[in-house]
Amino acid sequence: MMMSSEEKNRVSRREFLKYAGLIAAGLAVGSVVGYEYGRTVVPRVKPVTVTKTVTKTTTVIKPPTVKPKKTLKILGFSGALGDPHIKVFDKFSKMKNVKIEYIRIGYDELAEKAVSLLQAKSSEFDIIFQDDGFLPRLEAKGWLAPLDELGLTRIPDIFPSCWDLGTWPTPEYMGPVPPGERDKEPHIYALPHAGGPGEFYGVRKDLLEEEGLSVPKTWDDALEIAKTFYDPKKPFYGWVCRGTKGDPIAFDSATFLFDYGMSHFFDEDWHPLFNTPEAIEGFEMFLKMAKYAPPGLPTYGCTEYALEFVHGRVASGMINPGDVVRDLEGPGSASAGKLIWMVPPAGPKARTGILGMFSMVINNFSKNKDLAFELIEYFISEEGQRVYALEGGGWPIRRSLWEKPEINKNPLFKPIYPALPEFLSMSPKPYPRTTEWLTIVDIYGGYLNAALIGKYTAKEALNKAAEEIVAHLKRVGYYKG
Amino acid sequence: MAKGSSYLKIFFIFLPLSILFIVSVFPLGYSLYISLFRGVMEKFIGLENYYYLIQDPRFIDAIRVTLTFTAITVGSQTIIGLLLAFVLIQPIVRGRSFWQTLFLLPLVIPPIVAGVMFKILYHPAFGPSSYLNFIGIKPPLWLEDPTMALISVCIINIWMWTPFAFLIFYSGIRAIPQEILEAAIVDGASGFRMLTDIILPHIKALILVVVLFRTLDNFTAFDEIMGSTAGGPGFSTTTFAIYAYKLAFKSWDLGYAAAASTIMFLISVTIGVMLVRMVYRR
Repeated sequence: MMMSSEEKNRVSRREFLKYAGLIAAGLAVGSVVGYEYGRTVVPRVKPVTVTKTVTKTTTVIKPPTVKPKKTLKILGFSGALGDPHIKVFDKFSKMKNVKIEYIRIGYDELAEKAVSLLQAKSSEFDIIFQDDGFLPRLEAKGWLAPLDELGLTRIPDIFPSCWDLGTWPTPEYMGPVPPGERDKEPHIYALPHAGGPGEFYGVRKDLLEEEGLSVPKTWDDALEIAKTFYDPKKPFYGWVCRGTKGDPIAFDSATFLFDYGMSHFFDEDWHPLFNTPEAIEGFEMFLKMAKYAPPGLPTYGCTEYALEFVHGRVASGMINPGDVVRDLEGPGSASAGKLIWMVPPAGPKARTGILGMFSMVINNFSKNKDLAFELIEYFISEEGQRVYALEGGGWPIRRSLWEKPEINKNPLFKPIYPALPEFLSMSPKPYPRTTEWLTIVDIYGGYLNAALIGKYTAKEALNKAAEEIVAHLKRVGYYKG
Repeated sequence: MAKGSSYLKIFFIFLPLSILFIVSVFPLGYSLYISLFRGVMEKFIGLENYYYLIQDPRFIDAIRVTLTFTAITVGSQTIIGLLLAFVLIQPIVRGRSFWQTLFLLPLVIPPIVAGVMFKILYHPAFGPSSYLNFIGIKPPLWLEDPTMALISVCIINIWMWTPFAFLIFYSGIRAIPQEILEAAIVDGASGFRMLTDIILPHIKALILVVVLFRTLDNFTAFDEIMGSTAGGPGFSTTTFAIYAYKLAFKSWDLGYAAAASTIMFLISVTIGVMLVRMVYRR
């Protein structure tokens, strides 16, 4: 029987399965061999003899010896937040004969990368930088090494707020912790030390003097000041802060809510307190202040509000020393040397502030925990803090250093002295210590922003936020029954 | 049949099929699987994510914003692209190469760059519209007003992708036999009649192709929105892609994000299948 060419070329099902199986097996074996080969021949980072930037974001620090003892890998923040640490790492590297690879990435990517790595129990990085809002998730999962178990003890010279913020579960005055976490034995997992430490109030003293006004004691006084200087035709504005949805507006408005009587964002059972009458009144005051702000406020982040001060177009605002002191007090800023940096004015019920800082934490899966701990120990030592402040330019967390003229008279720190040590000594309150904060702040900050653009009243926005946040917390099991 | 030839044939069938499986079927299946868990595969909860999702006002709002965004952008890109192509084939137009290059420029700009660029352009204090202050006019709040913000991000997308529609339509119109167009001119057909009676019937299939591609692409628009508004003000520009990204990589609620993606996948497949069928029916 003659076969057509189509029939001749046809592959039977049995043949297909047989050969497909063979090819799949070949590919699988090839993948395994390739993976193993890749693991063994992966190129090592070439040692560099002095501090040298290898890429835009990677700094390799190596002691001037032939063979360093060990390598520490640190994942940190790019830009001004991570710069001051380089000098300390450099000193430590020489002292201990270790190579340090300091890889720095942006704020958003850092949080994502940290969770991805720790989730996978990766030992890739020994030390990781984190914003305090992300800490509860990492701490509750057991991904961070307890520093006190490695030998760290509370040093009285370091502000208690820093110790408390880095402890898990956090002390009760900082608000509730997620269900099941309160009974855990507290450990120090982090030492918040950079950025922040929170929102300050800033006002141009030259303008106050011109108008014969004094420094505001209350938010009502601050409102009067904002009103006095508001002249959009110039344009010159009375007030500025961050108004972008999410964390920026949530953080910059929190002081108002606290000062008007909100004790915490949530009660012990995780029911919202940010929509109580006092909190609503506080947020209404924030919205009143916003009337004297530049028209783009709902999209203002750190850069935009800093620019208003740098261009000399604003009289007062919420200012964050860790983020903007170099810009606002630096050369070329129209506000340099003219600003009063102070703990925010008082509300009818309190004078407090929102605390927020960045920390170094040790990866619990790291193979160099002891060495990483030694670095942190050196970093918080008096010598380390001195290097960090005077050579690196970061503000120190040791109280005693703030009393020294080389710090408090230093052009970098003079503007924020004595406000910064004052602020940290008065036990400001942090964001809620919850594993769900990123979801909560997205909803909460979204509604605050919606109120800022006039879509909702303060009450409507906070109630809607509360409703959605409760639904979320219910879904993730924060409520019993 | 030679054995070597069989091996080769099976290899060439098996290779694309396995690639298709790895890059398309497997991720979909895996996404469906993780949508049955809480958080990052923390606890099996069955269909609970779907139950909460259909009641979640953020999700429903994100779908509404996505559909509005897609309708405005795809409609505008198709109409503007068609008009640009129609204008450019007119004999009166000089310097066609120059105009073509100019129209195509936005296509080479990365969407995230376009987003940030427009954020600066829209800025009421630093952008070009701030000059309106000098003549006593308040600059519009492009990204601050919730209604304007959605329109503003639509403008960015329209600016970026109209060249794509223009390119397809321009090639389509140029492929229409010249005699037909010349005959219409001799018969005294107006520009409008030429467009409606000759050009549109000839490029109907291309219009559907443009609508199909742009719809599926704009359903997942992300970069330009993230770069300009990040989903704000409020939630007015939070499209599905922004919403899912935040769920997955900000909240690390992968299960919930996967459930949301599955629902969105079903919606886009339904729309896609409808459009594909329309294209093939032509």
